[in-house]
Amino acid sequence: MIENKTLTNKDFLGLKSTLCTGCGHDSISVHIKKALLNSQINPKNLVKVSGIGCSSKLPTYFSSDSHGFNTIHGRMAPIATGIALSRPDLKVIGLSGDGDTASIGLGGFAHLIRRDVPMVYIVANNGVYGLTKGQFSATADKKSTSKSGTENPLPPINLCLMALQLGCRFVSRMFSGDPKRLVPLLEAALAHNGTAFIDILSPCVAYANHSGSTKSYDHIQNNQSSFQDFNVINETDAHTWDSEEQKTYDLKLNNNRTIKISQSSNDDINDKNKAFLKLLEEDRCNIPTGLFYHNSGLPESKKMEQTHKSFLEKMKNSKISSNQKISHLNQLILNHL
Amino acid sequence: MNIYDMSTLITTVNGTGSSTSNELFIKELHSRGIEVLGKNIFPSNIAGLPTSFSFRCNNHSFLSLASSYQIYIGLSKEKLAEDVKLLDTNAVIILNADLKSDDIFGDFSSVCSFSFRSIVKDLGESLRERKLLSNMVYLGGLAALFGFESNFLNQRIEKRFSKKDLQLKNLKAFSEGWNIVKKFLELTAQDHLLLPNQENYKKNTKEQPLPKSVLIDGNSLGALGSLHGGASFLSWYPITPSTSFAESFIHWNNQLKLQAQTIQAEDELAAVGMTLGSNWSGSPALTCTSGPGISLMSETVGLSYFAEIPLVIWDVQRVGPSTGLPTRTQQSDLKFAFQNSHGDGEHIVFLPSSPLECYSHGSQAINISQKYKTPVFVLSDLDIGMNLWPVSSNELNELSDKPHFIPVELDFDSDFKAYGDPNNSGISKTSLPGIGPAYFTRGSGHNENAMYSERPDDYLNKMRKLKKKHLSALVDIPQPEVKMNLKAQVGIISFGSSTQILSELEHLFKLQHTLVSTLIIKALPLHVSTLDSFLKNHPTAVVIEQNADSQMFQIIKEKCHNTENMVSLASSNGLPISAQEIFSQLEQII
Repeated sequence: MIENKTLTNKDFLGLKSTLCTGCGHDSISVHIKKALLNSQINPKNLVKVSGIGCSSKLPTYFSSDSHGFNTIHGRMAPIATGIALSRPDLKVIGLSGDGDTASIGLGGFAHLIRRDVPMVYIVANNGVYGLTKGQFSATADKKSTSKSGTENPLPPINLCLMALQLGCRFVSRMFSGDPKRLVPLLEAALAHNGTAFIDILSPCVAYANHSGSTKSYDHIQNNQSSFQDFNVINETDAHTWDSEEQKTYDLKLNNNRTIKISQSSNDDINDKNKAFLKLLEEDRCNIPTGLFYHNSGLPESKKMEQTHKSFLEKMKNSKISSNQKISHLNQLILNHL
Repeated sequence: MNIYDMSTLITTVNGTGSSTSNELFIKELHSRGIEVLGKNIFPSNIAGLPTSFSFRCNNHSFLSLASSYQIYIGLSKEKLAEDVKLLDTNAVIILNADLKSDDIFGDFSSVCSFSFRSIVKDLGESLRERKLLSNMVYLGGLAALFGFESNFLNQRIEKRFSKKDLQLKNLKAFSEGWNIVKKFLELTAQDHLLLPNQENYKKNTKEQPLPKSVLIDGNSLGALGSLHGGASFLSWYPITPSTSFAESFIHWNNQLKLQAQTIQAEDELAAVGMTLGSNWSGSPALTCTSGPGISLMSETVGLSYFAEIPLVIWDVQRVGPSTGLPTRTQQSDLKFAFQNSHGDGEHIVFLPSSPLECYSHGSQAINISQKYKTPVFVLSDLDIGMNLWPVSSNELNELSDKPHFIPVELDFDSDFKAYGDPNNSGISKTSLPGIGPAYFTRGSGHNENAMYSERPDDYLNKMRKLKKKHLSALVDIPQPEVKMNLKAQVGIISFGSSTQILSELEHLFKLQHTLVSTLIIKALPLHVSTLDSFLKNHPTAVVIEQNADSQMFQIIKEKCHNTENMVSLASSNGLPISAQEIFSQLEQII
């Protein structure tokens, strides 16, 4: 189809969105398309997996030439794990929501992170169950209110904090209305060699965009602290501009490009402890957004997966190929029992 | 031909290594040409409760649990009073005198009671070691009872224990037990319970020919069959009695360097999810579990069925409902598997009746699931899955010649329809990610082009297609095995581990000059015409199964005709089925 040619916008088109006008999720699919285009990822080698909920409708809105799988509520993580581990030749994007991940799918999320499954894991986080019309999700802030005015009595689950604690090597949060930083972040996630987790604050215009909500457009815009700048440059232009106040990190991308992330020299993108502190200090009036922690090193288990043969090769070279006969089953059993 | 039928019951305390020792003993018996089947009846804990091992030596190869015992080994005080009721009046008993319970066996003339402690106290350094050595003492006694020499188990003991001093201690304990029982037999002027054939085998123990059968459990063979069928991915969550299926899969995969991936999941929801994901992406996969796991997997089964993605679930059934009796056997997941998940739908269910069929069904289940793109359940049970059964070498080798993994043909057409029905069989073409044309998979309503649809006609067409596909599979799933006797007064229908009593039942009926026919159901959906004619040709048909709700009986009643004279004989107390017990119940029915 599109081997060896430059991919264009058209290659990443999806179906028309069926979400509410103004939904944060629609900007997410736009930004994903842009990131895929920038990264020149062949749609044929991409798969999109989701759970159930408004967020999980996203895979139909981009890259129709990629296989997609809208699974069941809370099970995106294990199903994507099965896909990613049996098909290391594919790039997997998992799309989930705060209900799908932080409530019904919390176990699967935790264990996917533990396994460092090579994929991009996106949570479109709006603190509310949209399809069932406005119940609080597990990421809604304590004392934030529903559209009808009910106060949420429970504290939120901080998915970034959990991911960090569980060993994730790419932990990030971004606002859906921040394309300047979200697109390069998505590109960096697509280039990451393990689980790249992105918590995307993505307001629900129907049920969580009122004054009592801490996941509304206004609240996020007024209270997010974007502690990093993102610049994408071609390899040839590479230069750093570290100063006393600013420190810059290079993240290599797929097609000879580099993201330069600059932040205060008090921060350190490779320092897990600093990431913990930043996340522990957050509250409803201080919502940090950026790449909290990044570590490109391969853990031992990961190296084993990397050596795993690609699917097609495996099918071709498998010890048991088509119609092969197994001789002397009896002897085989006796020898290996 | 010499006739022998002798059952032994050994009750010890679990966590003392007795199960491993007992297996050594019956493996040696088996290697000497004695037809033997062992059943482990164990508690659901790790250490400290009474546990029983029952084995039956029978030259007809009757495999079912005996209803009474001729030899008893008693090492668990708690269980003696219960066990004594299972013994023949002339049973020979080896008893640990330290339990101070000889009076329980006052009615028996052959009780060899001696202190195990006095034998092992100087041999074993720790309490643990002394417990392990006690097992060797009673095995030595058993060898003497069976008429074997005192070196009966030497080779296996030497192989089992690599350290020289442990070898010597175990050999010593074994021969001490042997001596005591031998002396007991001489004193009481009893002949030892000589089993036939052993004279021949005693001489050439070093140059044994390839045995005519292999002693092995169904979980091991099921795992090997699945791998040979092309399984390249297993995700599982530990649960008795299916854990050893996963462990065997890992064992064979390593031994045979097959490169399958194995993942111990965080729960059954994830195990089945990963399995589905792997199958969706084209890598044949299965998961193994037991009833409680199926409860958790049900939602994903519905997704697999409706979205048409291959899925194999290997269920080693145990006693339900709820936690039930986790270490006991039952056939009670049948209807649950057949109609699993919410909404309409029936699934393909394989019903292996022996470890050999665990192998062949394991291989077929993978291929049929890939071809029909639908869930396939394999319903084994604890009895077949975890006990050691003799499996015929010839039959194993016959299976060697059958094709194993048959890759599904892929479609590369640009007008690919993910849910089309090109051959009017309900089976759609296959396109895999990264390889063929893209489509979108979903568990919500869709049309033949895999587009979201809530249209009534699209929904109806989809459901009709799924039903058609389910019935198309009849040509590929294992056929029922019928032994029709035109003069038979009764036709016996059974499946799975319940079929192990059939040859013994036929034998018992033959002694009474009663003829019976048998029909073994090997899979669902039912071959209705075969069952219809079987039911028509017998004045009475009995469905034998190990559950309380007559589950197979109900399925036959719903699907077949001529069922007016069909009777249900369904019961389960968690113990493997016994031919003699079923025989007496059948006598009352006919």
